[in-house]
Amino acid sequence: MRQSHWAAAVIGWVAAASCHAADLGGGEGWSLDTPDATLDRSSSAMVVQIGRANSAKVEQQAQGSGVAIRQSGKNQAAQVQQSGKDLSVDIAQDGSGNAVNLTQTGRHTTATVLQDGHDNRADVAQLGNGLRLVITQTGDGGRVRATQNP
Amino acid sequence: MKCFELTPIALAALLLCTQAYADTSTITQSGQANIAASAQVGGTGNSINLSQTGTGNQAGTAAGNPGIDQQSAQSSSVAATQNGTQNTLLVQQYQTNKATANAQQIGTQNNATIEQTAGSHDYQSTVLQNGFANNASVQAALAANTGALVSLGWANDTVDQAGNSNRATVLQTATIDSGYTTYQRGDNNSATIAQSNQYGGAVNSAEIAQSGSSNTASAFEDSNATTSAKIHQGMSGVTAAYTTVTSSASVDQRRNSETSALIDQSSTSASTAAITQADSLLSSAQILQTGSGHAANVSQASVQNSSALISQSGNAQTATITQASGNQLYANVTQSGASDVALVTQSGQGNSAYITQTGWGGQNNVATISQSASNYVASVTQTGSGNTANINQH
Repeated sequence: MRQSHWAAAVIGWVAAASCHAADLGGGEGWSLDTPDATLDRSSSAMVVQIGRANSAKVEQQAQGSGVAIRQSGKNQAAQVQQSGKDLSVDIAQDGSGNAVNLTQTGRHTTATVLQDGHDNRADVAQLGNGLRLVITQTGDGGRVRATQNP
Repeated sequence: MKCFELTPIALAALLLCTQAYADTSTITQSGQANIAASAQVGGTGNSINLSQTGTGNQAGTAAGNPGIDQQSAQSSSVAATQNGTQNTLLVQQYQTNKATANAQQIGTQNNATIEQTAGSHDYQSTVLQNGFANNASVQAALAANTGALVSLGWANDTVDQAGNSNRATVLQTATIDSGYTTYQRGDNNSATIAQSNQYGGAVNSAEIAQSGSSNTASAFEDSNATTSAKIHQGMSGVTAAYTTVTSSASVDQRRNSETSALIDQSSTSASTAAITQADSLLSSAQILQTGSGHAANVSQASVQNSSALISQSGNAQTATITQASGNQLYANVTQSGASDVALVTQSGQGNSAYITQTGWGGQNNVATISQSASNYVASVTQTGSGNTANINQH
């Protein structure tokens, strides 16, 4: 049954988590010069922040749209709220003490979170079907909470 | 039968007899409370030369004194010089094609008015004032019933003021391919240009350059023209004494076919720049500011394929771009400094917004992009610490 995919998949808080799914390709780094943004979508939002204690907040209500966030430094925060369908989010943080808060509502949504450093946190909630989530943390003291259709 | 033949000598004599001589009037007054008036009607190449030295002299604007008046002529010119204080000058050129008026006032509290209207075309006027509390007013207008001559009509006005508390006002109404330039050097000066009811296909331009403090400049361009407006405050290369502080500049362009606006402010603090463009195609707006505590505002409504750019260097700057009801719009804000704020709001399809906040020690900057409709792109780039990026797409 299709509804079976709606079963909650609470991964919970996982220390030093490394959650791979499907086609991530293994936690490779990213370049600020060529961010892997989803600009081929009909609408896109991109945030690049380099430094410390910066915060990015993106709210998107659209179809076929994408968000890309790149943060380099300590104590950075990324918050994304998406609703619609065929949505994607790509977040990469390089540093320590960084945080990701992501909520996606809709069909065929994709989220990729890459955190490189220590004491990072990722909190992701997805509601809908055809969900895809990839969270990768490298370093110590990482925390992940991933929720799909709770 | 022998035909009548014109010999060279007879032809030269005939030309001398039929040639119209230009009228010339020269008035020179020195002293106080002098009054001068001169009028010329008809003819070609007429000229009036006025020179007044003293205080309280009048060449027009007083009751019963028409001042310098030229009517129904071709290629007429006026040259007026007033040296002193509280002098007044009025130059009126009616139905005079290719009219030229040059006025020079040296002193304080002088008032110069040049009116080139009612069926004339191809004007040129220049007002030079050196002193303070001077007032210059230039009005150029083509009558709507001038028929084919309208296509040849242009007005080119220049006001040059050195000193403080000077005022310059230029109105160009129903002209075509016209230009206006004002130079003001000093403090508390104001310059206003209005180009309205332009004829279709006109290419008009306005430029205001001010160096000093507490100056104001505004340009208004309306209707059916390809227009450009440039305002410079705090010109480069001037001495520190002319550093601009708390100056304001505004450009308002409406119902044109293609418009461009540039405001360039190089000053220390607290200056404002505003550009409004509405109901036009291919509009572009650009504001450049250096210093701190400045505010830049670009508002574009009902425009297509248009762009707005704001570039600020310094701290505590504010940049606001609002693009409403338009498609294929482009907004770009670049700020280098700390505690800067950038806000871009767009509605329409295919719009894009970019905010870049960088610079040495950039911190506590805030960037916000709000977009509605579809097919939009938003991008924020920040370097430093304590920065905030907000993107809202609906």
